[in-house]
Amino acid sequence: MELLFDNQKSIQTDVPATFPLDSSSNSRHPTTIRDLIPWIASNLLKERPELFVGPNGSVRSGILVLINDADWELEGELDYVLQNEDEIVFISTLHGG
Amino acid sequence: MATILNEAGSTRSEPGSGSGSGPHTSAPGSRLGSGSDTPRSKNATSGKPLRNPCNICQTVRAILKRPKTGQQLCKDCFFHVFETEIHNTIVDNHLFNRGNRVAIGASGGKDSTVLAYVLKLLNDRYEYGLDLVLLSIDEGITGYRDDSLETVKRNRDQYQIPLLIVSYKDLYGWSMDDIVREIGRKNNCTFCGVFRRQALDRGAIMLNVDHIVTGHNADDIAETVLMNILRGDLPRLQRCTSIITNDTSDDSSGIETSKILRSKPFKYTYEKEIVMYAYFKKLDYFSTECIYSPNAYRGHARVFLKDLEAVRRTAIVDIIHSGEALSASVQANESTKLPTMSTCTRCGYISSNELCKACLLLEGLNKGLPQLGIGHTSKIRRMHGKDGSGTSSLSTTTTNSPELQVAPTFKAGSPLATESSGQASPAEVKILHKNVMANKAAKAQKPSKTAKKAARAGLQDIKYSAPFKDMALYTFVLVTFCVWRLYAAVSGQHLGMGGPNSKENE
Repeated sequence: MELLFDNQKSIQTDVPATFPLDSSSNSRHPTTIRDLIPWIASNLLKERPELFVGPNGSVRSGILVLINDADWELEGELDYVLQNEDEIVFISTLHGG
Repeated sequence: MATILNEAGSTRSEPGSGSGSGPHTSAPGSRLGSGSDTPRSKNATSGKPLRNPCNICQTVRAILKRPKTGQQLCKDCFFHVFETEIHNTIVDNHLFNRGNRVAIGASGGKDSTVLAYVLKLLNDRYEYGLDLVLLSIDEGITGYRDDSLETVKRNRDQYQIPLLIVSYKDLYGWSMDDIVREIGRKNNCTFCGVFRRQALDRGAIMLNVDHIVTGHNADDIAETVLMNILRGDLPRLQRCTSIITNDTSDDSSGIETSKILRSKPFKYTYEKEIVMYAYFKKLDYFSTECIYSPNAYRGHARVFLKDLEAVRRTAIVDIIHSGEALSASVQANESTKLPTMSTCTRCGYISSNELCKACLLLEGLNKGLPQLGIGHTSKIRRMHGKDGSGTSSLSTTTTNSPELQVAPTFKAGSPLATESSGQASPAEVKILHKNVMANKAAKAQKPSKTAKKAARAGLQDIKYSAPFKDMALYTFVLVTFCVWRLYAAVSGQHLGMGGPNSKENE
């Protein structure tokens, strides 16, 4: 996983607070994980984005996501709204045992 | 994309902290948006009602939704449940006896690291009385295994478990780097897998252990069940589903290998929980994919499995269960005799053939015929024996008569099935020629009915034609046959239909 991020295990970054609701309107909504994943892919990923982003815009299956050290399944997954100083951890399970 | 920084919305606003912080040494995975080493695991803010309370203790914030049950658990309850379930698996299946010496197959990856940690913990907690050792195989893959073995060495020190590393280079004279240089990246996993299985046996004998445990988890097993069903490989289906295998040799002369048990204590443990356990326990594991294995087939099985799981939460256990049910029904059906395990006549280690696959592959490497043993082993064994260039022991003979009763369907897919050498040569020639026939027919796009028939008949065998590429002599013979057959086909002669059965027809 680090390989995709230029061998950085940990990145502190500023993420836009809001994203446009859709391309046509000017209204914006607070950033969710759904926005974060493509944002990471286009801003932080160094190589092979297909190993991070899955076909449905979520992370590729086999990557676990933790939001402040809790399973993202408990936090609403893609719909989770990012808060200040949130810590999002991505763990790949796609390797040998 | 503009980065909006303001007090209301920015998700990270620590002034002065750079965009990239130093590498984390302890935690696996990539951390984004964090520089602190103290994760906020609990909602310590008193007063507020607890969001997502743990389903068991109700007092702490849950950190994990269990894939098996959907239960929400806090960290401590998760640890307890995880460890207890593995303990129950061990006890219910009578995996160990007091005083057993047990080797943990350790790669440094998540599964084996968690396995070593949990076994050590349970051995102390429940007083199993086991003598644990770590056993690692060094395949000789620079930039992958050398790094992961460093992890195992740290585990050895952290858990105070002795470690033995056996290397392919020492056992076979070839490291995986050497093999890949020789044969290229295709098919190298065949060598690696076959050698690893035997290397574990050899290491276990060196360590004088009673038992080898491996970190195969529920997801792995479900994937393997799917793959074996798709390949129709019933013997392997049976072996991959059983939690404990004893490769018993019927032969009284069987050497020590026959006494060594193998088991998978994580058979019912989900990969997600293993990874989460390792993460929350801050276990030191190595997480890089092997540089030589894109492993496409398993990858597809895996994606399919994940998709199934999204629709049906219990998919993984369901598939393991159906694998068990299928292999049980295979056992119950007396007409389908599965090959019995015996020992290799050359190296003396466990094998389902007279000559084990490791020896066959090794001979190929040493003779500069690395394709030997890849693809349809039994055919090549026969061919090689017939050829006379190999030692006589290479040909499978009729000594193991029970194996001859293997149902015909197995002959096509399973390298475990053997055949009487008496009828080998004519059948062989026909099959070979049919491959090329089918290939040619496909290439030429001949619309003729007979050519299509041939293509269909040869379809099953097409993939096995690859190993013969390098053998100029055979190619020559085949081309000759092919031309003759093509001529025969054009002149309207009947061609036999159906894969293995056509041997009888013709």
